[in-house]
Amino acid sequence: MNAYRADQGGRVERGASVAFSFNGTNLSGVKGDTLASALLANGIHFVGRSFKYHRPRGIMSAGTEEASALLGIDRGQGRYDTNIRATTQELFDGLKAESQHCWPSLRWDMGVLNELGGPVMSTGFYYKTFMWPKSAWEKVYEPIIRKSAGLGRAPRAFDPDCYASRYAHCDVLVVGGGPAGLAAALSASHKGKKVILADEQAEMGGSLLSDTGSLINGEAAQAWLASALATLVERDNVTVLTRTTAVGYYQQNFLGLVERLSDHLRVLDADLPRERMWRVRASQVVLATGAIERPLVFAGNDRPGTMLASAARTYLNRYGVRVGNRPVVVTCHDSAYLAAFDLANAGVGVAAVIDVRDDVPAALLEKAGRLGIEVLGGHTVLAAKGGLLVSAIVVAPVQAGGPARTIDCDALLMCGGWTPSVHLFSQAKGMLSWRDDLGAYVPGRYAQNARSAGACDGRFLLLEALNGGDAAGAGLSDPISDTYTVAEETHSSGISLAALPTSAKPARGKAFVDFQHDVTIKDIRQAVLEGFHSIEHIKRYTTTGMATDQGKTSNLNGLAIASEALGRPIVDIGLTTFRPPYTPTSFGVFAGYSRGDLFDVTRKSPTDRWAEQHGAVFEPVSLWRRARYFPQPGEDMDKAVARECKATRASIGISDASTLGKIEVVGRDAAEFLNRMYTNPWTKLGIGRCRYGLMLGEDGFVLDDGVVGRLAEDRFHVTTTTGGAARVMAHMEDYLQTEWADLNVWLTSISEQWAVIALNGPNTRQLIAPFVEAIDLDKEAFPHMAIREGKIFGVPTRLFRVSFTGELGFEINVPSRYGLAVWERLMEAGAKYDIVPYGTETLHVLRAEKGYIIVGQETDGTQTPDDVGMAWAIGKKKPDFVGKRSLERPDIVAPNRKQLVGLLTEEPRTVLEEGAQIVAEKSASPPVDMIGHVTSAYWSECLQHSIALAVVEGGRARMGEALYVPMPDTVHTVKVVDPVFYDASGERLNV
Amino acid sequence: MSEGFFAGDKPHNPLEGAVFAAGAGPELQLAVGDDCARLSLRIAPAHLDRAIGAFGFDIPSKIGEMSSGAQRSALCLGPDEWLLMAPESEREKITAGFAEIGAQTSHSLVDVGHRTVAIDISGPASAMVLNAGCPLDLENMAVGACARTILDKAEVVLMKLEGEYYRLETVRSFAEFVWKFLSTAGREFEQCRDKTRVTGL
Amino acid sequence: MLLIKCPYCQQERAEVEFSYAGEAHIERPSDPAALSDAEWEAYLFLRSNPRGTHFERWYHIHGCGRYFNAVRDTVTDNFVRTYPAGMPRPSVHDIDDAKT
Repeated sequence: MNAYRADQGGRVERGASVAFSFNGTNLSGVKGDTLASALLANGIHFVGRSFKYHRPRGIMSAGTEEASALLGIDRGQGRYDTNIRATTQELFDGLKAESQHCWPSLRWDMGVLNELGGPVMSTGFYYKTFMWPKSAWEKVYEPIIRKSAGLGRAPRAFDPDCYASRYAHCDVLVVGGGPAGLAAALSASHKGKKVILADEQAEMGGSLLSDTGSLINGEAAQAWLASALATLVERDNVTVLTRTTAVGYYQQNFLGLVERLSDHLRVLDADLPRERMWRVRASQVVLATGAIERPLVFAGNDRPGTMLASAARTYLNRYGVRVGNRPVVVTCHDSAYLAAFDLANAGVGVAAVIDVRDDVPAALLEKAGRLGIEVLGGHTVLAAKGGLLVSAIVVAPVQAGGPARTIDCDALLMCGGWTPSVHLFSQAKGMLSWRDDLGAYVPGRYAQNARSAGACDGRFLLLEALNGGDAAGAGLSDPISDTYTVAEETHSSGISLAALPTSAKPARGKAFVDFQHDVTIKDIRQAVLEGFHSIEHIKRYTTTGMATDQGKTSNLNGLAIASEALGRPIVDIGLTTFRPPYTPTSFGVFAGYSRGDLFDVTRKSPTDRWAEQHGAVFEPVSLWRRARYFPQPGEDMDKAVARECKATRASIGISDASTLGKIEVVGRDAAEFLNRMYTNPWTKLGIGRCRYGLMLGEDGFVLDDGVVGRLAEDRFHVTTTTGGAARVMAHMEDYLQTEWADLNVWLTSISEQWAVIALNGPNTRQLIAPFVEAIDLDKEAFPHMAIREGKIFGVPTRLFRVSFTGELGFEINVPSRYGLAVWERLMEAGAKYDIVPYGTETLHVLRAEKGYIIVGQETDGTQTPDDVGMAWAIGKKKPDFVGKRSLERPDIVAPNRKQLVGLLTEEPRTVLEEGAQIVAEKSASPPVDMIGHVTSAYWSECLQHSIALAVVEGGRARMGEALYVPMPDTVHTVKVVDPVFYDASGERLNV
Repeated sequence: MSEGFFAGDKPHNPLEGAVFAAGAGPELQLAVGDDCARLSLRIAPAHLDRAIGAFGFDIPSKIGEMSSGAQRSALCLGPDEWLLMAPESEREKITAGFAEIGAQTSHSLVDVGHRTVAIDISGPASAMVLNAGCPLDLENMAVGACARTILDKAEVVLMKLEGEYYRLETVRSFAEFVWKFLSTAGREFEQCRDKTRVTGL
Repeated sequence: MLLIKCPYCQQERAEVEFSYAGEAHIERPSDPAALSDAEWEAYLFLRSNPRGTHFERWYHIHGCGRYFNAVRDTVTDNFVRTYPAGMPRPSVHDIDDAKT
């Protein structure tokens, strides 16, 4: 049995021992323990060092608000988590915990020197100290700060766990499974509502789990809890989620709940998620999030052994652990007496209760007297003494003049009143209102359909919690019902203090406000002195409330201290914003399934499998993966591309163009619609003919391009770029639906209906001729830029005669499930023509040799048709089309715009870098005007010369001029040429 | 399809051979749906009766409604948009029916039979697995209803065929992703799992 | 995540099904050529960006495929109402009615 384990009481299983280790020492707890309760059962308070001063720290709470006992937890196989609150980590067999912020060991820590240098480590230390010399920043200050900064150490191994997410809908979401939440879930589900009840702890019950005295409807509180839970679990319309924290409350009652599924388990199942993000949409939300006890601010209030009074009560009543053998209680609120009484009843000798108030309620004094507890009313704490554990406190009457007295103790229990947990209410954009009587903010005006019940609403009595929850769950108009009768000890009054009054000099002994970030009362006062008057500024300057606990225990004390220092009421200095997540949340659960293959969609074309089997090297093109080139053994990309280019121009190259966007435009006004969407004229395009279409945004800049074929009077097959498919569809739908709703046109995406196999090269016609049915392939009957419907290899095809290479070309569209088979047949039949598969790299080279642009490569959203040499694509007679008016804008008709040109390097084998800047003078001193940039650059195997496309100011007037491309090590000289490098007359197309 | 040259080749479904490893369990089954004819119909709602005549089967007029029978089904996806489905052998009959009304009734009928792949999701865990990535309230979705919506990063058309039986259609190149997503989300519903770990069941 | 009522589907659907499409009630001029540079600039680029009531467009891209209009308060993010494209801009009176 653990030394500090009470013989009886609590909800733990004393017979079930659980082994764990702490900083390498093997210890044991029992089933039902948290790591904190197990450590305390072993008499261990001192568990870590603080972040800034490396002061010894203990366990200050029993819940999620913990700001001190933050440990590293190793669950094995790379599962290491940092800053885990010992108070929320359930104990399991084999758990390994370690302290943070200490070196070489917890007991002998070098960082404690920070405290000896204390006066210089004051507020704003970083801002003030590391200002100069400038050169020291990078080499001295930053490395030191980086080494000492941060809370805990980050894990290095790949996270082996998986994470889940789930959308859920319910009528009533109840957050918090204490008495208010349980009552709400009971009444809501009784009315047939679909209810989700979530609580962050392993067990539902909240405060009831440590309530040993109250009666609910005549029944012991914990017995009532058991039957209430049994009722809820039995109801089909209730989902009970334990270990589930509502971390964020967003618009329209949308909440994120994180359910922890395996952090309490020793044996893990790799297929089961560690955590699940519930994305809940609720018609109504009941917030039953309780309240957090406030620490008191006095010198040495962080000595190990110092904790919240309610926490000591929880350790005793729920875990059967005495937090000390001689605790002393310091309070300004009635509720701390509950801890003193329960401890005394358990046989613990309570040293004294120090109550700051002069008039302690008589009932409390009477009961304390009965239990033999000394109560010092009107007293304050001047200091807490001790090293690695509190050993005594020095107390004195609040009214100066009285003698100081030292009281020995081994635990110091404090209570500064209670702070309703309004985090979620506030995240939901509710307006808080200040209650002077409570010294706290409570929910005021709701922004969403939600209600609060119990302590989070400033109603601290068990009776109020149950009846408030009951009313909220049932949707009663009254805030509180009378369903429950309760017998309880009513200890709910107290006063609020910024800090304990003290006659000691403030410089002596640190009085902490924010335990996790080591912010003291002096820091806040100093910030005010230095001119920070808004709480938002004070917070950022002192960093109070900015640690991972987000100031759950410190915010209100910080506000009160600032208010006092400023001499202004607390409501006048504002309140910092509550932001999600409520508690630290793993990155994993935010990522959910989005890792590995599911990180993003990889779209694969119908022939992808063939390409993979034939050694293709792929590249991503928007979400698609496309074959980039098909290397033969021993080939690198340059060699493979050179071979693919040559083979295509010599005989036949085959490539997959299925990723192109395709839209079937149908309707009486289809041609008119295209007239308005594209720069080109469409009315006179004959059935069976194709035209290259250029699409602009309304700003006059090139948006997309593609070939459009006319299948019938009222039916067009439109193609778009691969990356532009969705954008073009949305753009077209926008105009069609909202500007020209009178047009009789419908758009249907057929991008994935058709597999597209592009064949290019002089022998393509011979290759396909034997397999094509119902299409006359004769060059006159089926000229360049034409489309025919028929069959190929027995399957339907829309056969385009188009070319993106300058060679005779066909794009064979077949229904996509036939794509792979048709490709394989073509490869087979093409063997006698030395058919060669090529990928996007060769495609780019072949089109660049012809000066064909790629939207997004030669254009960047600031090119007009004329800029890229395509003024010819503008239908001059058309009264209007999208972007037409913008082509008259002053900056677009201005001279010297950048225009598309070709570049030839002086040294033929030098391939320029895409994106390289172009200048007019070879050796000018900076600043040098950059007059353009390289958009595409390749080695052309067919021309045995490097080629490049570029946009250059006034480029078309510079033909033959020498320009320069400066690189880090050299300057390339280039000659401006026409962008068509190959077969300028187009003879090869018309064969 | 002509006999001879193409004989022996089967249309290639990108999910060909996909098997849900945990599929033996009673909680969840995933299966690749059969190929069928699919046609995207666009027509003015006022002319829906003529479309019904051409289709030879009821076509619902309200978005999210679906009519289904052994030889025909029709999903209303937008105010003037329907997805018509039928066995592949019925396709020509349907297109011929619409060709007949084409002269007097402007509409758009586009073959999208190869555009999407169907996946069937069934079992008590089906809604939970879909809700891993789909924001719809599936419990309140009527049997026989349909919706175009989102499943994680993919657009899908979802049909609720029975209380615990859903079918989704996703475009071909997203099918592999959608299958993997459902398989991954479904892993925790394998047969012999400890139910206490799977909340909400 | 917002919940947006699509006026065509007549259902509240999750924001992930939609994409935002800019300010509403900016009609494309019927004869752009007749506009001065300044007028065309105003049509192309100038938007109201109010604090409070905003008329805006949404595209139910992963749903019924329709563009529609919405009145949303940019401070609270609350949707006052949504309505089909082409309907006139709701009056202040309509909006107050919808709020209550």
